[in-house]
Amino acid sequence: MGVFDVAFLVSVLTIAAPVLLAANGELLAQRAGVMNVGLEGVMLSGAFCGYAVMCQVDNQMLGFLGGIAGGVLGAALMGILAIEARVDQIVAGIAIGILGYGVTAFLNQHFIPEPRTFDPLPRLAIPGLSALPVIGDVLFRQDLFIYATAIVVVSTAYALHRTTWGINLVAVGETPMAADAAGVSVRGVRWATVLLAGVAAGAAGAYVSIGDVGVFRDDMVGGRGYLAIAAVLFGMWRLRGVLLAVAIFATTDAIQLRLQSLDVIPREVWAVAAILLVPIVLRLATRADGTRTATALLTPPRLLVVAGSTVLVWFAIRPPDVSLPASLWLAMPYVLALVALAAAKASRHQAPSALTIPYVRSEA
Amino acid sequence: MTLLSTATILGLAQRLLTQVAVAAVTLLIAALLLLTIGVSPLDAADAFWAGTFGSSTNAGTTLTQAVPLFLVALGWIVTEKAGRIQVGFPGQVVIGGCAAAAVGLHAESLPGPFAVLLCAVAGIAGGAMWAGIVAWLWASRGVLEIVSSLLLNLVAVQVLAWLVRGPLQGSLDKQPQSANFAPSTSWPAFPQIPGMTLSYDVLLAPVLAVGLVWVLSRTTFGFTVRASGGNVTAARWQGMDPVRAGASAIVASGAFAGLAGAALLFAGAAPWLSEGFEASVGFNGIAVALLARNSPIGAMVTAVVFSSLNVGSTSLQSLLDVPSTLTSVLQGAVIVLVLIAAAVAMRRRRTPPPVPEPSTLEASPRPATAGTGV
Repeated sequence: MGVFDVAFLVSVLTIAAPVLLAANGELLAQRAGVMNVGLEGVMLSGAFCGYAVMCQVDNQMLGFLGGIAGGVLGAALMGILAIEARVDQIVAGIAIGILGYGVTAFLNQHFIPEPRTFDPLPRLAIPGLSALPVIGDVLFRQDLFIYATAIVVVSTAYALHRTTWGINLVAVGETPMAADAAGVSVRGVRWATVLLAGVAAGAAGAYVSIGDVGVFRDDMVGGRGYLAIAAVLFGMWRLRGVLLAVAIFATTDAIQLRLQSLDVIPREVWAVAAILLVPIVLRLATRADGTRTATALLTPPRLLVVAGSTVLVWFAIRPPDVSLPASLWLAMPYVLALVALAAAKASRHQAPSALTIPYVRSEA
Repeated sequence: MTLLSTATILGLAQRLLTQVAVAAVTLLIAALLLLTIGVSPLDAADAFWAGTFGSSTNAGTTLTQAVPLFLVALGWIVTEKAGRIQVGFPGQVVIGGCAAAAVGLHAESLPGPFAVLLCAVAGIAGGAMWAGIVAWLWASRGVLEIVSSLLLNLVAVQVLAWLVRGPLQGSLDKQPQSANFAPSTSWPAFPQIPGMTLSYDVLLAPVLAVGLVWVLSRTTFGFTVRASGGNVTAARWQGMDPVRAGASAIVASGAFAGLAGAALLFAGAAPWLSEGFEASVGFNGIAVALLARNSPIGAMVTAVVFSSLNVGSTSLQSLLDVPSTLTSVLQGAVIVLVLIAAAVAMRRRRTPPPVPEPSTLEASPRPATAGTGV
């Protein structure tokens, strides 16, 4: 299979899991109307608290609990600012991002004199299923965090669409006034989702520090928080979209890691890139009434995308002798996200109407 | 100076009082943090003063480092007045800096003033172009400016990482940085200051601050921008084009950020392009503007406050071994405190029940073509 072997798929999952968990929590909060652009800071707080607890007790369970506590702490600050003080959520998020970096780096420099290294989470093979070829190695020989993330995502999908709680949550994000009139506590739902997002981001941060590599460095979350937010927006506030976005981000990142050891971009990579562009081309060809037509593609920006995908298909057939610098590969997911956002025409999937708008209950 | 003329003296006094209260609480936090790591706050204050304004050399550094922060703050103020939330400053600073560096590395043969000017213009063009993507995506594709600008920040970081390892890499060893810029391309420094730490670009600050106040309050363009940021429907009825005004404001703010990028490289201590040259100026500039309550004149003061925090923390680190990340803690704390102070003041006034801010995202001038959320 060349570039895309079992080890590659495993690394995609390992890269995707923390981003997916954090994005999953952020999705809930945003559906209820609170956007925390400081998610990076919250994840850092989780990463550091998890590491700090590990340094004290050397127990991974407690370490993760510490990470969750750290995430909740950061999220609680967001809740106080956004829900209680009703300040501008974007600015509050920027503050939390700066604080998260500053506080964790400060504490790390001063209170943890001896940097320590821990073993990453052990991989657990699920009896029976792990014996399957390829799938068994990729999906059923993972660590506990990845299994937990899968369970959380499935239960989120269930809770959001099949429970009263989830329907209330969506109502709070769309028309808080109606939700309030129906007896749903807007404040309560928003606090719950913000704190849940904190739990998720904290656990994801702890996975980055003690679960995966087993150390803590300043700023080690390295943009995963921003990626998680990008995934929610790119995914148009739907769980399916978020999953797709995280999959694309993780795949590009894993390919980038893999390509560092290769000189020429192999054929499979071009093929994957071409496949990724297909949904975008299809979406571009979709007219407002839902019918597909080739003539809709005849405007300059769309032609560009079509031409791009044609070139990629050609490259997949005849790989050219070029290599792309690693950093440009890393920029790829964001560029893709921007292209997808610009191409998105369907108004079906929209931002929650009350996103970032504080709710003021008017006492008549 | 519209703010001064409209505000009552009472309002002004209250505002000053909250600023003082925020400063006092921040100092308290700093003192407590210093005590927990066993450093006397008084010693720290001494070291801080010596590092920032204690000598004319250090004061020059502090003022020079305030300029990029101030320029980004101006960029934020322009978009804020137009009712747009653009947070792409880190990316625009980076791309502006890259453009300025690309020009500066080839401009050593030009006479000094032209080379400096050319680099500044390249920076402005780079920043404006990067912001232009945000403006185009917003105006004609309906992509929220906050989303696209955040994504473009991440792209800019990678572009810089590529440039310093590829096209712009210096020939010296394999360091990821460009060659040194020729002295003729750098902003000249005041010769009176020992160490030549004060660059002439500080003169930009008062000029641009007054200029921006004038443009916003006395020109048709400024009025259009403010009207579009205020009541979009009213602006439309007046025959203005809020989408156009919003898009130009985004591009203008990118131009300010791009100039900040050029200033970081050509008026700073390190005359070469490296990966970390942006040094969080992009986000801290937003804080500078907020702290000044989006007043261009006030931002001159708050930019110096922020840069003294940066400069002072270096001397605290070298003299008293205080982690320099203390700065980030304080900067984050300042923003939180300013937000809370504003919220408290709002509740105190008990004017008509606080109407929710015209939302950041849903905010008003809906680009005409795209009805999509993002």
